Amino acid sequence: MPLLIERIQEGTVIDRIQAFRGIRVLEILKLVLSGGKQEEMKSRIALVINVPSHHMGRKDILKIEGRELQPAEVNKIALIAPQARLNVIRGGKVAKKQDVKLPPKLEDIAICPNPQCISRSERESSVFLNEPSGLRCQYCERLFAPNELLV
Amino acid sequence: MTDVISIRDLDKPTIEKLLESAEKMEKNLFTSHEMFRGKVAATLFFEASTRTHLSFQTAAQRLGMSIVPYYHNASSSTKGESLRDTIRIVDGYADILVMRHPQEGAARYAAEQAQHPVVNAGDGGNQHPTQTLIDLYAILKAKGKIKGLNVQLVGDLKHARAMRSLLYALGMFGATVKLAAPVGLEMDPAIIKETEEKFGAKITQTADLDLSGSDVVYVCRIQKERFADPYAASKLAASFRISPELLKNAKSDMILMHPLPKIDEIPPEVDNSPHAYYFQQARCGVPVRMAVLAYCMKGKVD
Repeated sequence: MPLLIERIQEGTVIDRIQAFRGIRVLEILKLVLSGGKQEEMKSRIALVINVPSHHMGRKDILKIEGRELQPAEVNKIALIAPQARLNVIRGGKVAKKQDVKLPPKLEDIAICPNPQCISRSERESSVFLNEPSGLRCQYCERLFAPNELLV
Repeated sequence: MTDVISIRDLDKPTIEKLLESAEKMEKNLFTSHEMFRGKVAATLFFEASTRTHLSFQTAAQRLGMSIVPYYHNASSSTKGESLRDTIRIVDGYADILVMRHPQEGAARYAAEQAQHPVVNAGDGGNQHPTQTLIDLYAILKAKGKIKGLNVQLVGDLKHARAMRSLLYALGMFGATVKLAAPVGLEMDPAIIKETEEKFGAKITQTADLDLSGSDVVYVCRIQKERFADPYAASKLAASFRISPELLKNAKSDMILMHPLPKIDEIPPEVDNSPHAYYFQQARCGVPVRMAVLAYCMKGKVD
């Protein structure tokens, strides 16, 4: 039995999310808000987890109805879903597609892996600057590969 | 008003102006400075330091400021107060904050919390920008230039934060740098790469101690407190000593530098050699830190 999720007419589809990372993507994009703000959300959201994929073996897909997310918003997920692709849907068709890429600055998404870093004791997460040779923690100034950061 | 947190934040023209300002400060060191009469400098030392703390206090007082010192052992952070709260409180008392902290990035974090300028006096293994400025100033004073000099950095280059910032700054100023470290205590390759890429610096590495050809030899201590086994640390330190025999190969005008405190990496008999320059180097601490404090208070270098 196939699992069917209906097509959306207007909105955003984020495809090629690494399998089981979709929930974290929802959190980073602040689409699931804690503290009773859910009532304010008008859009229907579908998260499909662990879908067979030609490209990736398995993947997650996220569909957000009635809201066009901008690349600048979605690029924040590049850290945990580097292969993700943003599709803007208008009139039932893909109007725009773009692969995500790491933004110049990653704020409040990842924790610094350096246990001596001040951000570990004084902040919930750190701020990383995207430099040619890696991601530099704004506090301890150490350089990390994207997959080293704790998310 | 401005902060001094990391050597990475300072461009070459600013560093050059700071060094010129330090020269003026040194000329007028013993005439009274009324520049910041009535201002208060808080020196927050969450980690032990003698030279850095004393020279910052001296520098502030020579600029006419008064001092409120903070000693970690006798304060509320031992009760578990967050750095954020401590900084907010002290920021309400003082006009400028000088801070040494064992955690990396603490100075940048403090600068975000404080309205007043923050000067980094060392944040764990990360940065110690005023030490680097002192080193550059001391080299310039002895050699008249930095560009084209052969500078050798010797010792535990892995743990010494002073060496990392110094390598970066030497690269910026066009020196040719040789890194001599015992196996396992080499400089972080990321810093070498960054310095080469940003400034086109010429950097070589070796595990053998040979002083010939160097204009400046900068030695740092094996940081025993960072080793689990003190005996292993002592053995390593002994193998990288600057002995009088080793100095025979050195150029006659080579200067021997050290951030101090030195333990056994430079034996006391070397102190009287014409190469020994570390005590003069340490004296540069006051004028350079005066220049830095004035820069932070005014937000520009005069």
